[in-house]
Amino acid sequence: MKDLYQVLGVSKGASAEEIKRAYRKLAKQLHPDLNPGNNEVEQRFKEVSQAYSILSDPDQRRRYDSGEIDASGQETMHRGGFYRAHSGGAGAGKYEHFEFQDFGPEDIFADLFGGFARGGGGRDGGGGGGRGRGRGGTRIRQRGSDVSYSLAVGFAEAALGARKRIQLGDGKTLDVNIPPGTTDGQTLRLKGQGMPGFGGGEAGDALIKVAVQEHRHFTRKGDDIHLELPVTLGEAVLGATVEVPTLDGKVSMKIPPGSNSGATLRLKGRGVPAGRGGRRGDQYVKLKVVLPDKPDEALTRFLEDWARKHPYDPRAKAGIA
Amino acid sequence: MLTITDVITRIRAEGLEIAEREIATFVEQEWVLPTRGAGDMLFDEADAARVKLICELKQDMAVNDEAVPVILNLLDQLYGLRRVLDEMHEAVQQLPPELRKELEVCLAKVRGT
Repeated sequence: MKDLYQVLGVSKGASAEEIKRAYRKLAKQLHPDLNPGNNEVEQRFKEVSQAYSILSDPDQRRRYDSGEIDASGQETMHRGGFYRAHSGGAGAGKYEHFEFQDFGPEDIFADLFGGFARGGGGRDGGGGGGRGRGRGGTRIRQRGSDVSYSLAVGFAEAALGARKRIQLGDGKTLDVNIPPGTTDGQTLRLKGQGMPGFGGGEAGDALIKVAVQEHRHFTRKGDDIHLELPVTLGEAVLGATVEVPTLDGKVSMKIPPGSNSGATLRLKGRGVPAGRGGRRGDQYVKLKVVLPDKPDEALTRFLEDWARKHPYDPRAKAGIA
Repeated sequence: MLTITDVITRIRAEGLEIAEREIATFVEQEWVLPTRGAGDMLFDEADAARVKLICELKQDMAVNDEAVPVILNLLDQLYGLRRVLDEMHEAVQQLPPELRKELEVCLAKVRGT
């Protein structure tokens, strides 16, 4: 609870005249009817009135100083029912007036609002009682809140783009355009698809958090797609043309003869669309040489001889002791 | 609707001084316009609040009788202006977003911002 002298801005030893003067000064500043549209002054004005009602009464002031009563000692001197609450048409219509003649007779303002005069003159419903809308203070205009959704999107859909549909709780649907190149965890913002606003405020947005599903064999690094491709011993040693899956479907790829396991071949323009102008990343195909499932007798016999005659040390090459 | 006695009771309850003679003077001066019932004066809520405002001006703010109508007139114009502004605002809110945007642009130009 605030100190009453502080509320009025006077010292504890202030005279009755000083207290009255201080109160008058504050009342002129803070009276709600003199500050239409300002919601804060009302509380402050009440505080000030309360303080004055105690300190202006010699008996009350004495009891407050001696601690017999506290700042709320006096029973409600809470001023309420301010005139400004009746402003704006319904209640105070007969008092309010407003002239716009200086804008000229052709002006839309003068025409629409007619400069309504006191006591019922004016053109467009001036004077008595107006629109029947009693309101006071400020209008609240607020933007609606955003609403969040999460959406699962397939790997290829996210990479190449897609249109998805979200089912909302109330039976409505929300169509979402997934732009090409959308990444996992990205949030898409749909303007105006959130909660409606108040008092004419704009609607909030829908925030769609995208969860991109993993692909069985593709991985994405930036704008490029990576794929590990198993190849046979024959294909690697002798070279071959094989079919390779890409985002666009199967494409033919040449494996050069003597390709080693781990060699990476590049398919240009088969990656994720990036930016405007039709640019795309690439697909990188990493070869993995795979032996036949079952031990092949012919191969084993051949190698027993060949390995002896053609030694080579890949571990030394890799620097592994 | 309130009688003059109701109004007096209310105003005194707020810690303000008032007498019937004074209210009659306010009415004579046309500072407040109650309706005339069968010989009696009838005050609606706005009228009662206006009487209270006049008391506050005189007692809390030491406004003299010459100044009271000046202040009331200015306030009436101010509230009238706010009402117009409010109606404009509501009308603007009903415009399609593109037109509202255009309005914003024009307004910014007019204000030199």
